[in-house]
Amino acid sequence: MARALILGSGAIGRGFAPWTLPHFDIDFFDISESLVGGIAGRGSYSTFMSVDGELIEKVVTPRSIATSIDASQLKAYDLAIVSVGPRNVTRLPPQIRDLECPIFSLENDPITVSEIKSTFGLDRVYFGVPDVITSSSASPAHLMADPFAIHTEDGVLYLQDPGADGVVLRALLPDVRWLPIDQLNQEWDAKLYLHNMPHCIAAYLGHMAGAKYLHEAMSVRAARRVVDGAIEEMLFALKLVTRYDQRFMESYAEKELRRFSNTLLFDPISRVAREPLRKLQNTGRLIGALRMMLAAGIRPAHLMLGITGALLYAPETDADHATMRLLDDFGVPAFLQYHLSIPLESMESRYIDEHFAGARDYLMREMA
Amino acid sequence: MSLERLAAQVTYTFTEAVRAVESRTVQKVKEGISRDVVTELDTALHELSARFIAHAFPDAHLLSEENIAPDFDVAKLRSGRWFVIDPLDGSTNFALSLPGYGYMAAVLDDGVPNGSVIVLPEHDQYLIAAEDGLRTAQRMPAATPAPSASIYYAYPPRLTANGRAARAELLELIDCSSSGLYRSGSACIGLFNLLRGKHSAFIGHGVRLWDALAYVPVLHDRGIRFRYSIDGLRFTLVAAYEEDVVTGVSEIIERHHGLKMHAHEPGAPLDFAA
Repeated sequence: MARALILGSGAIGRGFAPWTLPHFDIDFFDISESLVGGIAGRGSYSTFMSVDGELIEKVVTPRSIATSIDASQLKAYDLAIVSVGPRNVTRLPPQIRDLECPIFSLENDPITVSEIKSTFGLDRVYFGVPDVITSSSASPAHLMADPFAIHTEDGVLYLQDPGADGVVLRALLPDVRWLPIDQLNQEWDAKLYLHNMPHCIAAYLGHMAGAKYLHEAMSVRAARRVVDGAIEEMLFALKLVTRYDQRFMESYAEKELRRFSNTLLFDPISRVAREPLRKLQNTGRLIGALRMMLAAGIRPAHLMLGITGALLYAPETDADHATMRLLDDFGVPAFLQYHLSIPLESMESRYIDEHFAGARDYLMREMA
Repeated sequence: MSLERLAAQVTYTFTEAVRAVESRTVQKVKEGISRDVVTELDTALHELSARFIAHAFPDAHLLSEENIAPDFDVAKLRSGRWFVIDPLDGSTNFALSLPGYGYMAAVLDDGVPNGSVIVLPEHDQYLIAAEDGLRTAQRMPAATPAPSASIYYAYPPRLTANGRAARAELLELIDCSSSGLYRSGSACIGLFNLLRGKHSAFIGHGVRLWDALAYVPVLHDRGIRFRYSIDGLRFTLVAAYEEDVVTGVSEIIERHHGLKMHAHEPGAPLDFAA
């Protein structure tokens, strides 16, 4: 059997990745002692994939799961996957610099590839886009049987074609779609703007409406209207500004709404909405989309409601709570400038500042 | 209420002020010293700080550059909670639309520097030092000084004869230990650039307490060596990446001024000489 190292045993790492690695023995790494100890104690966990309205179970028996890297095994891996969250890639254990296999970053940002390379002095690091919604949790019934169970949809893993590096891997990963980096970037743009953008908007509005899971948010009519509208605005902008295949984008956008509404996923809003500062970053899914729309002359009315929802997201359990709760003290322009490097006199800052109060009032009326 | 809220309100005030030309208006020149001005922004930040402290920490006292009584007894800082504030360090720069200004607030509890808020609007940055560590608006990784780093040297006008003699030796030390002297009218920015590795050392030679006190917790957080001496409201601070520079500067200061340059441990009270 080939050997794989999965760094990060969250939603993607333990929920989706094992489905794509049928011919691998898998070692897991995670910093959570309770997670690692729990799965090690049980010897296995279950991941459930939603296929055509049914859930299919896969019992995953890790070769090992640990909170530290076993240096003696590093040269034995054929593949390593990084899925620890974009903010954490530079905090991976230093031992990974001794990995000799190809490493695929499945974080939601291609910059993580260069961050991993420069932090650890590695060359063979590539980008990957897991086009999938994977919960960090499972249904109450499945969690009762297995507290580490996870639900995922039947997604597609796109990996950057590593050229000669991939000769062996292509045979070992039959379900992966290998793409050259340009095409992968197109796939990522589509995912970022047509999936991640409306996905997080649904989460923020769902939070305001008191929903716990994403599919519950999508059943709130007012939230659904905003998500639909944001996707429409985004499609229009992408068609005007990019040369991406329009039929590809339209079919992608169409399936998104079905995916978000999947009642089998039990995807917590807290997972999708977490770290709003990262979701609001200057080149990311919300502000990047805003910039594209404004530059294309499209009025981002629904997107602005989503951005407002993100700016208002400040639950105490979220990592960004300490900063988000002070939005009114900072004032919107200073908040955007200091935390997101969005300059005061930029069109994005001026647009958000001008429309924030009205958008907040609308959301408070419609969602709360 | 928290120091984060103070940082947020100061940031808001800076953002509004940068847009408003009148905030740069010089309201007064202190003691006829043209480098020591008070602008509308100084006043606004001072008043904001006073309101915040009165509301959030009603038992605390405020020592601000803008409200210092002529006969203030620095020994008072040894007990109770004090906020020591420079509302706008680099006022002259701000008034002239030159670069280099910032806000500093140091928090003392029974003489122990326990926290601080530093806002640097030109860098879209704030630093908040509190019990749980250092928080910043933008990531600020630990730095090592560039090979061509200079040494920031701040000193007041009208040095005594001993002070002028110390300055002459310090200038020689600076020239031997670095690419040279740097001075830009704001100790706040000088210390920030030390953290960023643009300077290899910072020397505050008889500056005022509020000119540098807020950086003490930050220097500890970054593991930057420093020594200090407090003589009334005069604060002498040397902070450097190299121990030799700290030792050399301290020796010069001690010899010319008869002061003791102290090391400081986190959590320990400062040594306030009356």
